[in-house]
Amino acid sequence: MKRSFKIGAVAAAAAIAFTGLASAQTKPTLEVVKARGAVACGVGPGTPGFSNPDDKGNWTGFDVDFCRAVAAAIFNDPKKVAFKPLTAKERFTALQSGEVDLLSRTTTWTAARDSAMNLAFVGVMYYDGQGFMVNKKLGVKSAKELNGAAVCVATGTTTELNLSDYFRSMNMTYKPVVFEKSDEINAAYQAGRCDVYTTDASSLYAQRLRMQKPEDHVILPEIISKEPLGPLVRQADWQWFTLNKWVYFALLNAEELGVTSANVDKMLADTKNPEIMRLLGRDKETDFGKPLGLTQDWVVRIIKGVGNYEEIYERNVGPKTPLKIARGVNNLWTKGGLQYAPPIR
Amino acid sequence: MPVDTALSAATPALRPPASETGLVGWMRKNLFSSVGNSILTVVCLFFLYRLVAGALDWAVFSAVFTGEDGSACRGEGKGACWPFVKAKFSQFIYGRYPEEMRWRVSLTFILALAGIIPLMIPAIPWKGFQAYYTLIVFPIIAYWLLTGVTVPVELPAAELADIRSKQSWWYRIYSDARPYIGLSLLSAAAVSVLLSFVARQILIPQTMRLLGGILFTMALPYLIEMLFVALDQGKILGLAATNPPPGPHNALPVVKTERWGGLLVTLVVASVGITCSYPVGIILALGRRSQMPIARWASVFFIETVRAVPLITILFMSSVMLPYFLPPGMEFDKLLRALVGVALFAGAYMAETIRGGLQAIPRGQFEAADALGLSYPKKMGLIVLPQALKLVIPGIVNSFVGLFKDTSLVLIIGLFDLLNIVQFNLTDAKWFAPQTAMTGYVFAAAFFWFFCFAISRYSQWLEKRLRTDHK
Amino acid sequence: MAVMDDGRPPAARRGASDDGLMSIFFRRETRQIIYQVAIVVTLVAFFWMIISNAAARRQGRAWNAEFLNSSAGFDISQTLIPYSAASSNWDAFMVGILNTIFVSAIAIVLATILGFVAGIARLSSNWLIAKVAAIYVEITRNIPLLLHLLIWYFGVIKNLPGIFKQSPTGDFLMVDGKRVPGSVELGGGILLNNRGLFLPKPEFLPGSRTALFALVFGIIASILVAMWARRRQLATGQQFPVLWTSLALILILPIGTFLVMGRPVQFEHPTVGRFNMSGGIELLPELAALLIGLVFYTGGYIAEIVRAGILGVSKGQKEAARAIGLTNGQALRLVVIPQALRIIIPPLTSNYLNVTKNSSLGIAIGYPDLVGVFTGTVLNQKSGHEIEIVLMTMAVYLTLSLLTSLFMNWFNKRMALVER
Repeated sequence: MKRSFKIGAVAAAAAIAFTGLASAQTKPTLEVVKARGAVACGVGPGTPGFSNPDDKGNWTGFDVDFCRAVAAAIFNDPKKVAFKPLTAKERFTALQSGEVDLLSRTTTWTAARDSAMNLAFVGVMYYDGQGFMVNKKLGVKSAKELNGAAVCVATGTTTELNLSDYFRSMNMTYKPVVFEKSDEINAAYQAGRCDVYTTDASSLYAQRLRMQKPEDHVILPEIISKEPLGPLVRQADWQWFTLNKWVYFALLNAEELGVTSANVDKMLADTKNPEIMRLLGRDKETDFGKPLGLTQDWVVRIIKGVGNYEEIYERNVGPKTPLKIARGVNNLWTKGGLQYAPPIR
Repeated sequence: MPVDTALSAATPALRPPASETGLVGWMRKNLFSSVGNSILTVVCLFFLYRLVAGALDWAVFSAVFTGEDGSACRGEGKGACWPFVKAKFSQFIYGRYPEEMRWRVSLTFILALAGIIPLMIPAIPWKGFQAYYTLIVFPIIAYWLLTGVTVPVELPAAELADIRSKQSWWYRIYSDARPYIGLSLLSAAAVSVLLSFVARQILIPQTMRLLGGILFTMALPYLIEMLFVALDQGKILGLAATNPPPGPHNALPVVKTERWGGLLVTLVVASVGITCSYPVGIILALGRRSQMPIARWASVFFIETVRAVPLITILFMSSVMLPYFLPPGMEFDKLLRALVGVALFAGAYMAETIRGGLQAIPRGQFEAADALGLSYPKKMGLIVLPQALKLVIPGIVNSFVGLFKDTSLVLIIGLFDLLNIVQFNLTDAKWFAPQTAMTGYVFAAAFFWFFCFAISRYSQWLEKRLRTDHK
Repeated sequence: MAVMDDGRPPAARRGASDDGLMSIFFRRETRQIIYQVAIVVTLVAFFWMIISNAAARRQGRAWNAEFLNSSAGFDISQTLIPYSAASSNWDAFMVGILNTIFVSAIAIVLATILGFVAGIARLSSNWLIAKVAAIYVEITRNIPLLLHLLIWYFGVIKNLPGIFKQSPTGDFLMVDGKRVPGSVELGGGILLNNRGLFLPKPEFLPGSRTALFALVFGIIASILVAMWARRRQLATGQQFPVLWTSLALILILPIGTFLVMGRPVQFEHPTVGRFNMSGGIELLPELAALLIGLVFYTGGYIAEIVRAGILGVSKGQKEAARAIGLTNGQALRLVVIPQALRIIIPPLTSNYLNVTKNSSLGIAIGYPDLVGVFTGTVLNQKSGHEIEIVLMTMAVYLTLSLLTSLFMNWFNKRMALVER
């Protein structure tokens, strides 16, 4: 008798435990992050310039720095990030399931991802477009000459779909050679398994660096798609979405107002410019940080931690880095680019 | 054989003709016994020569043995690029485990061998103790060693009071009592083991030893913590950090599983998989043979579904979709997810192996147990399973070989096992050469081959030994 | 099986504890019901948990199959049915299934041949042959299949010459500003390079129909001959060279007709285009690597099954066959193997199923099988349908497995009848 009761009790307890777990309410992301003491950030598993771990496991890159900026805003410490390298396949489920709080992984903003997947794009951190790379010796000058070529492409990306659209619209044929990892694609391209390597132009530059003879490969002038890359969060949490959005805008506003990690302390002490005063939280009347769930000096924290947008760009992908990508459309609107942030006021 | 002694005395036996003995005779008998066989032998020899000569040329004569990077291996007709393996060898073993921490992995390997080698030699006594060490004590130690240990540290009184005021009263009492709990559990374990020898007449020795084992297992985490606190504060060995950071900190720095790799991951996945598959397999096998229809259906459904689908889909399921199925906030490490998938997969196969063993137990054993009035757990645990499991030991070792090979599939979900680390390093532009890929793969293949071949040979030997035991 | 667990408490014991309501808890039936209720409750709770969690994550998005009708948008390198980027995801699913079946079917046939040869060779009286077969078996079986595939694909096939001659560092060899074709010519217009094996594509002209008729006639005639010869052998004991007659009827007759008709066939030879090969039949290197890997790996397993099967036939059978004057080959072919097949076929079938499952490893080398196309690409492109996609994939493999076990049951029954 005893035993049967025991078993019954265990089963009932298990059922109750499952029920309890299943009906647990989702806490606001910011609270979860603060309780954890770190921002869980999904990044790419190794894209030079965007997210790359060094031998010691320190992550660097353009995407990585956005995670650090968010951590700096919350914790005043850009190191409080738990980086999770994710493959293209894992990235959305990882965000949807709450495994990461933020996905900053060269992800293209599309209608389907924004709507059907219940995810929200924070902003366009980097305006990219899909390009083609070929061996110089092929003598190809334009993507329009690529009829009949074998094209290496990563599976499960928007790149794969754009590629198909482009060749169809140009009435050309091609042979797809697909792999999941950029390492495999790079190796296959170098071995001559395909004639053309296609992906976002920024990544093409990055991949070219990893080749045996980077100077032998040329990136064709055509950009066949719009690839606005940006970080994503879950749709359900407006506070977290807004926080991330304004971290991004703060990076742009700081650049526009000339606030850098080098001069932020001086600016904080000396500036008479009311815009900068508002940005750095010296305005005694309005606290822009509090409604976001942050402190008043949130921008100061960000700039001290990672610098402004320009610093992040120049440090990771700019002309002085091995990638050597010019600012181009990613320049501020005041300098002829597309990066534009609403004011802080 | 009856021998005519008179005849054999009269005419001494002739030596067999030269063509029937020695090398020539052997060759005639085994290689050139007929025209067809001779042709086969010659053709086979020809191909063998080509193959062996080609392989030797690639691996030795044309191979490159020294070099700092791939430039030495580039060029027409160059064979294997061995310096690549040499340069990357430690990565193949440890993955991206921090270099100054790699002794922890090596120590784990040594501790594992210390448990497994005696366990594999039947002549060494005290199998129960060895199994206890290998299956219970070692995994706990290995877990702490590989992931790291965080210890509480003596703080200035004010800070301590501050921290304590934030803790609930029962946690405060518990954390104060930890060393004492550990020590009392340890002494209780010692007492029960001692009693198992001294008081044989009054108490059942096996039970007391089992109790001792359980108590020691419970004491182990506390003991490890105490050891590290002592190490940390320089109370033993004098290894204290010169400037210990305030607050709880890592005595053994935490190494996230993302940084594990190479042989370490391969062995962790295979051994955890096989260990966990064992209980899962026993439960499923018993369920499948149970009289309760629901238990039977559930087991059959699980076993047949898992066995019908490829391991990759199960790994996809556990790596991509597991987070979907879990309550929010419940986090699963990528390695752990793969382990869950592998354990369930191996469990289903193990269930079938064990079911084979159960079927081989004669009906009389079940009936005898029933006649003694044993309950189901006693019947199974004391009579049936011990016999059935002994019968399937070779089968289990074979499943281990299969699982060991299958661990390489975690490459597809992006875990850095041995094969994936090899593959990853092949893209290193510094080592780019035509034969680098082949060299890396041949190294991995040689490793897997050696390991699997050794185990399967051991299994065959064990099978033979167990068979003679039975007859 | 039912008897073993039938551990009803002896009647006496039940009687002793039969004192009122409490006793029902000691009865086996009651306890079993309680256990089962516990199992059901746990299972229901478990499934309810995962389903409700998954539903919560989907945040109200419906579970539907509409995504199967929307266009896939990506191309696939090998398609056995008409498919383009405009086709639906369902078509992509079918392409995946067909590619899986295609590669598995070929691999099964080739691996069976290789396995039988190696298995019989292992038992050969020729020491060298037996040893070579044993080494083959031990090497292939002890290396993971994934590694086999990677070796063949990245180690061997990728090192084949490219379409154009290249230096080890990837430079094209230029002559007069043009690249030099680098494919290996295997004769008969067959070209091999790191983009695959290119065969001439036959185009049959009208006259070839006669040859086809001749082939059909040859097959029917050889079946009739075989039946007649069998009947005659049963009646008179005289044998007829069926093999040679059939070969003549099936091979020589149609080929002769074909030649008489003036070889009514044209070959479209693969040619080197600006980038790629064009024309001819293309066999992808991914397919080749997957096939070779699967065949060598599975062949090792089948060899062991065959060996165990032949060893399982009692030695007396072979000795008896030799005693009545059959040659070694005849004894093997007519006496040993038919009996060995009864032992061989069940594990062989499960190995065939393994080949089908193992073909999913093609994803590692970019072969577009079911897992690669559907659980790989479609899953990535149609995020939000992960669960449906993985379940559909599993369902396909489950179906294949069910069909196999149905076949096994049928086969076992049939064999049981034959057994006397």
